[in-house]
Amino acid sequence: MTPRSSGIAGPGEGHFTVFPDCAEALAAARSLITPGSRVLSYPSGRPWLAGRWHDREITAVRARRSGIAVLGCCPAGAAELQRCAERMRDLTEAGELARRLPGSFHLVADLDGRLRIQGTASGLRRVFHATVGGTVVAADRADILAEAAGTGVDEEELAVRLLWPVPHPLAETSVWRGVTSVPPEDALVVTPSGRGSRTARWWTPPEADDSRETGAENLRAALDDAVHARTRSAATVSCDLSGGLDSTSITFLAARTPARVIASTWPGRDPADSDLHWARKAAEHLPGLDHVVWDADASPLVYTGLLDIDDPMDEPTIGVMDRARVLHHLPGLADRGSELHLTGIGGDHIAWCSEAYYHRLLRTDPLLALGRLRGFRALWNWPLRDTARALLDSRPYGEWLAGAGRELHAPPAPTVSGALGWGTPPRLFDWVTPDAGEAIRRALGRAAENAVPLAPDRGMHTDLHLIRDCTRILRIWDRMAARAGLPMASPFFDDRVIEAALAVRPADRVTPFSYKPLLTSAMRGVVPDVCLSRRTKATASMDATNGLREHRADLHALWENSELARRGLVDAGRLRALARRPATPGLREAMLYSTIACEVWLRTLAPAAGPASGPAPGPPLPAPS
Amino acid sequence: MSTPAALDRPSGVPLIHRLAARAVLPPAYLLARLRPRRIRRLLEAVRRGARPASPERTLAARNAVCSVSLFCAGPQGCLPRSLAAALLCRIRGEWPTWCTGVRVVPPFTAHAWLEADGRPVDEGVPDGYFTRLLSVPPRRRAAG
Repeated sequence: MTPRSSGIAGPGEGHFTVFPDCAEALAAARSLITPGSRVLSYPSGRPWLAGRWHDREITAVRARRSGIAVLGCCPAGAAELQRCAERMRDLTEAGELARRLPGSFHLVADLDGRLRIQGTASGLRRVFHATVGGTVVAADRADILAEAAGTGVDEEELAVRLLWPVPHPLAETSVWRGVTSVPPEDALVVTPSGRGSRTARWWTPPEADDSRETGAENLRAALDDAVHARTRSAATVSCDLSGGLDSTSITFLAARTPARVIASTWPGRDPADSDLHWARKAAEHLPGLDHVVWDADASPLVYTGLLDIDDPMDEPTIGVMDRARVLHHLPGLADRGSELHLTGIGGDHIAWCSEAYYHRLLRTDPLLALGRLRGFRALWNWPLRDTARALLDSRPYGEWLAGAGRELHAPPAPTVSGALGWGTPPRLFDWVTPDAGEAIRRALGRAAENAVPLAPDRGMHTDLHLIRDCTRILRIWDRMAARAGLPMASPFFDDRVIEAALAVRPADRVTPFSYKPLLTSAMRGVVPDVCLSRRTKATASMDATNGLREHRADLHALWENSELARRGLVDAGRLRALARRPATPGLREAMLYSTIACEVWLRTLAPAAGPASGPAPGPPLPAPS
Repeated sequence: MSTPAALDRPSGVPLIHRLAARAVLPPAYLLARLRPRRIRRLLEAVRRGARPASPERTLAARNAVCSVSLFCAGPQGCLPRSLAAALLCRIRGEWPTWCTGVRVVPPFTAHAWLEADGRPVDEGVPDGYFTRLLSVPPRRRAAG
């Protein structure tokens, strides 16, 4: 990597903090602005934004009474933002701006001393805040705020992350004491005094009433904008071309832009994996394409390199399991000239959606729903009795969550109850200590009292929840990728793309009888018909199984001197015993992931972040090597 | 491995084949409930007098079965699907090779399928991807 002048981070690698325009903020700024930080100031001279960022990733303008800064990928130019800033009469106009623009970005706006910060509805760009030196300070990362506020890990929140899966809203909170995370659909508003803050909702999911035709047109336009927003600042981009529909769509859209495109295919090791065949078929239709096919056996398995992870992460993520696989080919693509890597991640979430819509459709359109449910039963092997029970379960979200809290040690719920209900009921495993289990039960109980689903319909709730579950991993992978030398972007997770997809009537996009019908319609004419005809999808089950077997020594080592055990959250002896039996059938499921995620995360934290420590001096981020 | 991500319901299957497929479904489901050795013994009795089925005819039988049964068309329907398709071949005087076995690469997965001319029919996997544990091939006869 080339050396950079201080404060200038590589694209995707930076971070920022936002200060209110008040005298107390100067004290907070002293602990957050380190030598080399870049700083943008208010007309008063006090700091507005500080951090590290690449010039390509920020557009900031100031008018007489107001200011707007956009951080991330946003095609709006300074002139357009300047006009908005000059016309702004109310801070809610910032939310309207964010609902209009393509891309994926944070938006910071201030008007007459009031400050507003928002991320993306996808959850890919989050906002956190903490009180530092008596002032509210916001940032796009929780760990730097915790460090400045002198707090440590909140062990009760951490214990909750041992659940599998973590139900809404428990994964949206920060795992640091004193740091609050803002829900993606909300913006943070800070008062002129800098002491008070509140949240204001800026995003609601669309009404799902578009036809497939309208939706397909909107989706194509939104996805096209999302890809163009990425290629306008990069002469060469690389794309995953796995052979699947999602990445093939992105590759073909990118090939229509002026950018040079490198396609990267990483075949699975399973001899029946037909991805490579489909990737080659797609590449044949793109004559100018530089197509790189990696050696399947050279790519790392799941669980590779868990002990060596040192990326800064502001929360535990199960993304560590696949980290080596995700980053493996990036340096090679950067060497070939790629400036940005586009992934097809998110296609599954917006184009292959939750069957839970059929819970309502069974009541509103029974004939259609019954036919489709019969198909789903055959496709996913749902037993009749469990399916009927799931369809009859009409508990509201809070009741469901409370019920889940009482069944934490039950055997795994039937798949169908997760698919047609409010989500997969969480489970706790026997290596979690009774004390931790008690704390988790309390947290679940508290959450159940006020829990509101992400949308009234359980299908929409599940779709949004799965999107956020994925962006939570992706926001950390994106940082890791930038640190590894090539930033990534996932156009499917742009808010405009998500909105276009979710606006389509559920019966027109969720069906057992065709594969991703909405995306297939949207890509008709962009992707050749032959590539749209594929009806299978590769699974990496063999890679996952081999990974567990080959890395059992690492897994064993992970539980020697376990940080989680030291904090009394897990029984390391049981986990070591499990690591000796990698073929245990339960491990084929993801039940170990959350525990590994928490353990790896604790190990990456500097000792300064421990529970007994005070404010730590020095820069919050290790410099990239 | 590639898995179906949507149910593929073959279209254009003639009515007479669909009716015949419906007729063999109940016995196929009954057979599917038996122990593997009994299935083998019964199929060995059933195949008697049949000619070897060609890959095309085996595929046509498989498609007919999938067009009338959602479960057989699904990824979990391999056992009744292979049995019904074999029986359907049989009532047309032919017999494919009925096989059950496991994947040769992990994770351990059992599967039932049909082969004709020594190759799996419409399984979307390379030859040798599944290893046979039990099979009922057409009987070799002096006169074809």
